[in-house]
Amino acid sequence: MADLRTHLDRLDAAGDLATVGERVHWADTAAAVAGEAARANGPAVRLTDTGGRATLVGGVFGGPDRLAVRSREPWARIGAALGLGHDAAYLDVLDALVAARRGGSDPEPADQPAATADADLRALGLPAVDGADVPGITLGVAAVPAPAVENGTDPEADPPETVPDGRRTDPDAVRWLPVCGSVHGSDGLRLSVPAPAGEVPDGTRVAVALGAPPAALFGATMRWLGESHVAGAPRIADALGPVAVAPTPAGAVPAGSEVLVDATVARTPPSGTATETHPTGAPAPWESAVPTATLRARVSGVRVREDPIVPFSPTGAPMADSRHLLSVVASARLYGRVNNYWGVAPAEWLALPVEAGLGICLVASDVLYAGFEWQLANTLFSFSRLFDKVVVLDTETPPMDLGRAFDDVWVKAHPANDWEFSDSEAPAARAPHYRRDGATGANMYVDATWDPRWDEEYIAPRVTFEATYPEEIREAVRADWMNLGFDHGPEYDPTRGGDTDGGE
Amino acid sequence: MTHNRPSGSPATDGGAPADSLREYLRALEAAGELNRIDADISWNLEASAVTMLANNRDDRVPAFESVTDCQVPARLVGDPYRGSRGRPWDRPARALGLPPDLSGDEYYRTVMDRLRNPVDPVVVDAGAAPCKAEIRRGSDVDLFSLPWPYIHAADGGRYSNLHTMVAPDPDSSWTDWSAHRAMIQDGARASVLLLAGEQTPNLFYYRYERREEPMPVALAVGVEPAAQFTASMWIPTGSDEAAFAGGLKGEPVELVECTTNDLKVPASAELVIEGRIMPGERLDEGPFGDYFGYMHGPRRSMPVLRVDAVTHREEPVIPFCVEGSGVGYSLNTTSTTEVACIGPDATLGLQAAGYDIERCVPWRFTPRSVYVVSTDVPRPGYLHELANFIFTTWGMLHVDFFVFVDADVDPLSTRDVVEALALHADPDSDFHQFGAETMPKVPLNIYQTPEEKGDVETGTSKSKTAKAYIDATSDAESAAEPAADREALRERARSVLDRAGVNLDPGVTSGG
Repeated sequence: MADLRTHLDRLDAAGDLATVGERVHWADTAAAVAGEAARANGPAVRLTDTGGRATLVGGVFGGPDRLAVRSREPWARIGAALGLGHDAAYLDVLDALVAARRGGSDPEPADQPAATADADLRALGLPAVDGADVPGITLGVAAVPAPAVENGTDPEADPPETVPDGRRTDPDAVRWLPVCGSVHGSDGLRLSVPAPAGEVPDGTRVAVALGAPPAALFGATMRWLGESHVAGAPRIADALGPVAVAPTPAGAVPAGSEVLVDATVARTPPSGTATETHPTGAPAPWESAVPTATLRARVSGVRVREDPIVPFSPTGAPMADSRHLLSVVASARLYGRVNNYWGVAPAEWLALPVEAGLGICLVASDVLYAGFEWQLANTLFSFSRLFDKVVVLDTETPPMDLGRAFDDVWVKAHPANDWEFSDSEAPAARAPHYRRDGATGANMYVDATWDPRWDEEYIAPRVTFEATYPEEIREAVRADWMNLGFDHGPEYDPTRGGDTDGGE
Repeated sequence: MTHNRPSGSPATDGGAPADSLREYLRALEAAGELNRIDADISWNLEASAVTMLANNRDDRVPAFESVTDCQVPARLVGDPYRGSRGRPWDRPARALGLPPDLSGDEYYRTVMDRLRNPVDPVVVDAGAAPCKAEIRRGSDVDLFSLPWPYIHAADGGRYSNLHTMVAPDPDSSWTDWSAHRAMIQDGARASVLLLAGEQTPNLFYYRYERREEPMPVALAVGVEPAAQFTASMWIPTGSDEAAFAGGLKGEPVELVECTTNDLKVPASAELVIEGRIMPGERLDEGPFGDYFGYMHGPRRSMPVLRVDAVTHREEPVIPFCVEGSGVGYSLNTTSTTEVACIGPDATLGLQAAGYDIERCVPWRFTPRSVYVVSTDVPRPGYLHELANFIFTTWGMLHVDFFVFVDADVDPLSTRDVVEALALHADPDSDFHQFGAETMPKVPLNIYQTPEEKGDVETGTSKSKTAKAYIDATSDAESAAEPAADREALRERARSVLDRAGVNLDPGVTSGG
């Protein structure tokens, strides 16, 4: 894997990066343009004239929805970012993330980061997201000294404010966090971080990397969404990468980052300034997945690469990067867990579709025995509080074939006995918009699989191209297709040229 | 696969509504949307296979000009009304003389407006009726001389499945237009899927049968588009189907009396099968790949249509639908008429019944069973009442589910609906009537075992089911009107992207 610039080159080569040269101001229009491109299933959008020093790019991890057949997959840019190629299969992406949980080797140390030129924070032109008119930070990676995070809640502890010289490229001396936030005044930061980092003491040094190598962002996100046995973020990143790290007082930072913001935690605002701590702008989806806290910090310096590029997520817009990022990371996490839980690997694929706001979990699984679907659904509920709806699909359902999944829900699941609702004692899910007061309620799952107790004769064959016609007719029609005068080849097939076997 | 129509550009002019199927096909051809295939094609699975692949690949509509093994020089056209994936109403719009690039919103409003204004038909003499260019009666009739397609390899036989069945009410002057598949049995007989317990015209037939009388019937094959669309709609009982077809078209539909009975059929039909559905006679019908996307079985005994005459145009064009291919991402004629015809019709019907809904639109991936209704909720119990009104009337057998969304959610936008379902429908309180097994069901559902579906005897399902509805409307606290300046900003953003030549695909939306 490589840095952000390499990723952008790949997107460009794949025809998935558009450039807007006219003035699109960071304070209002930039996020709106990226938001509209995301909403309308467009490419990533590079904004070169924003009134600030940085070039802004929206959608580097985004993608179109899968509620129609499109020229690229929702996860294509993430696949490219992971070095798997723009045309990576969904399962390749999941498998890569699952494998990376174990971590790779220690990241290679570099003497200094690529970002060496001094810059002014406000002059960068970080985009105001969600109409807030305040410079925003999205898709950021924060480096914080490990003891500050580990011991921050202990009133007796006095963790050092910086990482000692000599350990500033040590992956065990630092914690990388996914971070978003906003800029206030000339040097104020309000950051949203995973909760344990919210207790770091005043004076602790923090380094916020923008435009970090994608592997670092994934590593940071995976670590905090993951279980305790998941490797530290730098090693996860290196497993996806490799990623080089450079020293800062806050600890190792991804060396290839576009922008490095050096700051110091300062909970107490300067006198005469507002005491509000929450960042301005819509919360990032990952903030629903883990408990978060807010952190105030004061910026002491900003360094940038030449012609810095800052990727951002138009958070709040449908299909924004941050939703895609969480969707893939959370899906991989759950996919890895259910396939390593019972000693068998029943799940063919699993997804928290971006299209459903991460409020539904689709899982295509073998139904090992009658009642396994109940067990599977409830295991998923116990692993994640993002959703309260699970749909269990047959393994023949192609990965991310939402057209099939959201058809099977209605036709294969008996409304009288395949839609199951728990009692009302389940904790509230975090993605949905109801019961935001945290009141308990019901979970539900839909069993859209064939009943394993049914004899084969009860299983209705699907009407598919493969199942409906004999092989000689299928082959002849495919072979003659263009000669018959048609225009659309296999790339237009809902299954991308590989019609599934209609047999169930 | 993306549609890069610049925002704000005016819709192109539509033409005149098509007076016949072949005129509609010529319009498709002029627009580059028809593929006339001159190569020899067999009716025996081959035409269907080509059509299914065209459906799956969102390619041009196939018209088969040279069909082998048929004595009458007839032609086939596969799923002629299939819409394009991005804008499923576009070809029906063209058929009705509307601009094909009409937004979904504009299409629905226009069609509903037309349905509010029926236009009485005109009856023409037999000599002026194109469908009577050739007439065969009695022993001259041979259904197998025509290239009825064998559509799925596991079907029980060859089918006519894209026609308008004209059948009379024995107890009134009402004539019903509907769509019922018919399996060709031999030269002079077909078996027709008429499930007992369904609505008209099935009820008509079983009343005739109790009197031991045959029911006169006509299968009008390849009728003009407006007539075919009307046959798929739920027209108020007792209303004149032909008048609704005329309203839809904006002009009178021409009818002609049958040669061997006094039923009237669209004069523009490509082919008409005149006959009687006999009391007390049954033949096997099915299995058949049906609209759920699965093979429907078991084989049942179904009423017999005895053919008295076949009339047709010169070189008739026989349309067929690859049923079962209009699920998931793919469209066919059935799924297209769902969104283009049933949707506006149901919206109008519910409004006429006093429900002030915005729009009723079928669920994108599943024909006939699930509908999305955008509506305000003006009082407690409103959604319950609305859902059960439909469950107990025209949706009695086929409709199993409703998803209710806010009035400002676009039910044509699949993504908006999926998001509403995921983020606004609380399993604790918003899923209603699941779990009950008290309601009637069409025995085509695949979630029922063959045992539950009933046996070879004519009958409806032996089991019952739940009819459920989901309240995916937002809570009052979380619903917020977008600020006017937010909308202006979005419009500016779209203009920026437009000027930069960025290729966007909003997907299926009312604004599309």
